[in-house]
Amino acid sequence: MAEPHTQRELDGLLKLARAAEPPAVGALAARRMVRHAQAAALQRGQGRKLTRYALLCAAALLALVAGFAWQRAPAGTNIAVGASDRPLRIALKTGDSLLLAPGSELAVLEQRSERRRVRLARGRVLFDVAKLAAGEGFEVEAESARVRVLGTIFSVEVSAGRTLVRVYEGRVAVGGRVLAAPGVWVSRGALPQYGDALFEPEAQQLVLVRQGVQPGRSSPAPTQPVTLPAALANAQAPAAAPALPAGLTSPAAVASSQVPAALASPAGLAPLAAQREAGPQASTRMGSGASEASALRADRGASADAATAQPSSAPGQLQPSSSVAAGSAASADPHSGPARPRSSAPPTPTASEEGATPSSTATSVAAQAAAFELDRARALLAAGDAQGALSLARQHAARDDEALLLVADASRALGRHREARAHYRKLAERGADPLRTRAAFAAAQLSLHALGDPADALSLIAAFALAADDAPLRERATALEVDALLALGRRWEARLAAERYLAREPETETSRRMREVLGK
Amino acid sequence: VTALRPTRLTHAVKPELATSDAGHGRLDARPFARERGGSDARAELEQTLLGLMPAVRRWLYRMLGPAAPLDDALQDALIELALALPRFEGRASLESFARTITVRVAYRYFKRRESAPLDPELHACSEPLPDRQLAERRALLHLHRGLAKLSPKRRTAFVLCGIEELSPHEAAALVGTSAGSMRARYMHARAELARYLGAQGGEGRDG
Repeated sequence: MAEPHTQRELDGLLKLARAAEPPAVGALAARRMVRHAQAAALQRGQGRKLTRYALLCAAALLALVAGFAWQRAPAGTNIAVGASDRPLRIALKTGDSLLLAPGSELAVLEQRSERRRVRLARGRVLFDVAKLAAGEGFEVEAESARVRVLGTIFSVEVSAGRTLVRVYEGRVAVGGRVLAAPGVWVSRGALPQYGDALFEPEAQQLVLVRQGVQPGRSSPAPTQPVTLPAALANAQAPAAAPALPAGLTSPAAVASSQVPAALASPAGLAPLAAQREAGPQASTRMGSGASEASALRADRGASADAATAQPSSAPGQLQPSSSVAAGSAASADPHSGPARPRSSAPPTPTASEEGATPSSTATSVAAQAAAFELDRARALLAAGDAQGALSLARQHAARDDEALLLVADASRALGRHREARAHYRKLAERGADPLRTRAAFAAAQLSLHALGDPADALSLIAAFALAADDAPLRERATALEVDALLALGRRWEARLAAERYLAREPETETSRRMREVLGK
Repeated sequence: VTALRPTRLTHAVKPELATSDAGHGRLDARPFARERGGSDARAELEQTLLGLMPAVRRWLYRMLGPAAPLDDALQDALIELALALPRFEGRASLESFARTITVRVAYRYFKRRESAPLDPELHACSEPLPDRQLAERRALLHLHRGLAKLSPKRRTAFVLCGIEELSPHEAAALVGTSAGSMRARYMHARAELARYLGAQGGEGRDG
């Protein structure tokens, strides 16, 4: 516990603190501060609204990205690509790569390694399925077909009630659920490596669409390295993706217009195909039940030997739509609100100036600006920025006594004592009380304590009558005079001055020192 | 100084707030309905801010001390008040509302490194300082030097309970803590300050 006298001292300090008042603010400055505050609050309020909106957008974007992230995609996650958006490449955590064409909608139902299942609601998706081990399966459900994969590259397109399966590499088994005779096994023998199987529910038959290879004839694997067209090969390309036709009308239409060049041509598959050292023969089958299962088993065995499928792209590469990207741009730098107008802004004419003549208004504005700069300089000096205060006040020191005092104070705070004394002296000569007295006293103080010139201090005290009976700084000037006299070795005069001090101020901090001078 | 307009919240406003020393501005304690937009609301807000300003400045001065950038802190507090007053529903007194915001602003300034206090004579006041006033100013600087060494919570408690003479309940309501915590903080702050003063003795008072 602290000692009682310290507690008493603390209580005394508390009393002082309660009585202390901050330096007053002028009415004009107060009104200006309030107006600045109102304007800043208005801007900040708008900024906060924008920030809130940006945060909402960011949250929405985050939710969107999180929803699309394949790693966290739960069963049944829907992924849709707008018709005007860029193609979207996603990778399942099992290593399968999916490329969604514009206007596609896909639901990931399962993505366990033993079973991957997606449902294609509309549009077209290119699948690059990783090599399947024994017991694993990849299944695509479409509107009118179910496709089982044995490690291959293929695409499934749903359009106008039809499902179009294109096999580019490897083998798939297709079970058309809408077919009246699911047990019908359609076999064309060795199917072309690049071919399409078009299901037409009405026709209830499988139609092979030629893609440069005659059906029923095996075709060699592509040997020429080719590149994917921009629409699907480069998911980041800003160019618009190829528009899909509304529907298929005939196999010929499929061959001529429905199948885009990106997927119809072997040249469009090089990046994917190049990652596979050897592609097995493609086969497209239609059927279900035991026959399909047996076929799948047989195919899987063959596929396991031949296919060396690898994921063709890194997982999780998601491309936000342009609208989302714009949202994120809008949310950038939520703190960059409008700057708070500080008091350093030039003042604006107040209402009281309305009606004044232009010249008087200009003079008034200039005076306000000067007063404002001096206020600012005072604040800077009080905050310890003497250099800043000096720069501001110096501009007005030639005409304004307050500015000159500020210059002197700032110079003194910077340690430029000679310069400060010159300013104080100049102010003492040209100014009026109380600035005059204060400046003269400060100059005398500097002369004695900082510059070691007690004679100059004495001359200043005498010249400006600082120790006179009616002087506001009489007691301090007298004490200063005592110190100067002592410094000059004029002890007798110092004693007289000390007696004069004690006669008027017996109970100050300095009185103890004065008594020491007197030897009491 | 203009008189308060009779409103349902006038009783909650201390007279010291209503009688601003600057004499510019009327303190109107009416809630600022957000829907009451336009120039009237703006003028009313301005008048209220003008009325609050001397008190806010004094609170900040007591919280932060003479070495702090008082004008900056005041400007910040006024901005916060201008933002918050339209949401003021009149559940508490306007003084409490304003003081809570002021304390929050002062907290921000506690974290800033204060510049070394200048000699009181260099504060460029237009009146010269006689010995007694100068000694008082130096003593105040000494006190605030000690306050700056306290944690923000204890410093706030000391200013609110010790200097502002609020009860622990009132101070706790402003800060958002319990009265017991506030009382404990105040006692700890007093003890810590007394230790500081004891350690400094008389030597640091003038420095």
